[in-house]
Amino acid sequence: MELKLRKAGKIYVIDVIGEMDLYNAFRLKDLVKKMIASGVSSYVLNLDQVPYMDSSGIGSLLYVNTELKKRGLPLRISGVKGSVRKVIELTRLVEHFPIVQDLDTALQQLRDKAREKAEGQPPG
Amino acid sequence: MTAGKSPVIELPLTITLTTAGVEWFRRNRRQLKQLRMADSRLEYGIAVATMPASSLQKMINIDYIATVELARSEFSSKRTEIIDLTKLIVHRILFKKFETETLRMMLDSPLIKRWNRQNPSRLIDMNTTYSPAQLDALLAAVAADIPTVSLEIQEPLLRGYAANASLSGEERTLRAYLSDGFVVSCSKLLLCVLAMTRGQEEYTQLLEELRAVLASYIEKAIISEYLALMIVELLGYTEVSHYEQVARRILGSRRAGTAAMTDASLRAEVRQRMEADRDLLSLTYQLGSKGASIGTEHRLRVTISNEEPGYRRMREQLEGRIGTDVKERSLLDFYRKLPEQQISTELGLYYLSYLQKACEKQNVRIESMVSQVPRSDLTLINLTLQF
Repeated sequence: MELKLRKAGKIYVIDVIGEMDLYNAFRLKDLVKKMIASGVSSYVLNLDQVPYMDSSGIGSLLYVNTELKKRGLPLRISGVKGSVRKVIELTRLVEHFPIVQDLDTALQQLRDKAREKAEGQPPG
Repeated sequence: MTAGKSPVIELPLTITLTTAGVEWFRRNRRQLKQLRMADSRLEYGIAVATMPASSLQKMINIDYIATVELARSEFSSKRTEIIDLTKLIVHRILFKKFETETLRMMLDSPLIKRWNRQNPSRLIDMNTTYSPAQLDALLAAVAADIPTVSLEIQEPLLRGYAANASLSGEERTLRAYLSDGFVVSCSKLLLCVLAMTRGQEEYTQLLEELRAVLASYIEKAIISEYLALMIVELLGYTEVSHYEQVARRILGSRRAGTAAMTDASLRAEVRQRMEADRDLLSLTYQLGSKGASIGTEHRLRVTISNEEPGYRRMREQLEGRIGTDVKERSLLDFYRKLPEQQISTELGLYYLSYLQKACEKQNVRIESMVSQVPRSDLTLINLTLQF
């Protein structure tokens, strides 16, 4: 599994590439820990190129989601499909994760959220 | 294996045959090998490095296969293939069951009852046998109508899937693929009768009953997706335990086991040793067949075997999860309760409870059990599904 980081304005996109399993899922947690420590405030986790994710991968997603939520930092998860979607459905996590259709939707939602925040509106 | 995917199973398989399968091989003077299976039994069968998916499908359809087994030092690099193989096997079992159930439904229908009343010398029932040539001739006579019949069975369902906003494109495609697979698997006799009676009132009634059964089988077949994930998860769980155990043994340190999890080159070294010692993990699919003992038809038993001395611990961990009540609970609830160091190895065991719920919903019976072969360290994780 490879993790690629790119920036879209103030939003950081983490592209996860390859199978996410117990031999490598900890790397996502480590990366997000570092990003939080360095003050990144808006995250997209793009799973478009993840063909398979085991329970350790799900554990990492739960960790990232929980940690960011705790700190009030917005997250969107895009590109969830195939067996990754199936496992999220099976374990009834669809409602817990901020899953959106695709990367464009994720970026749009986070930009809208940032704008609402800047304008002093309650975030949606 | 779904449409569009590789038609070849890229896995070395050991296949044992049913009595019918063995007879066919002998009649056709094909060589059978004596094979040592994961549980040390010696069986006759075939061993292949790769296999066209269509050949395996065909052999399952005609009830030639008793078990399909794979033995490897690791399964992580073959997850996609194992997921596809699992789905292929489950779909075939269900296609066969659908064929039997819909044939029986037709034989019990007013349409056939009326025919039997009017033609007492040419009764059609479960004991009626037609040679393949007779069936082909019957089918040829109505060949032009078969595509229409097939469409009429599926059309309302497919329309429903297309209009169902809660389904993703991927889910619609899967359901359409399954729907087609089930209809193609229908008995030739059923298709002939339908084609010959198109437009009659009893035809419409039979069609409606067929559609209801088809819809329920399609949802049942979705279980294969979850089962495949469960199997791969259990293989991962067993694989880690195996790595740790062998790493400790050959490297002589308790820490080596943990290091193997994060160090790919160390894992490669451990794997080499496993292969040299033939210290492998096995995955076995045991298919129920007509000729097997009563109650095993349409049954699938999946066994993961490992020479694991920690049998008791494995049993406790697994059985503890099986009984977990997941009603109204997501995996997040269990994640919160697990100590951090256990999340990577134990979170996936909760999938069992979710799989169990999904099976209950579709009226599929599932049992899971951990056992040990007497006088050996061979630990077996069994999942049995009765479709």
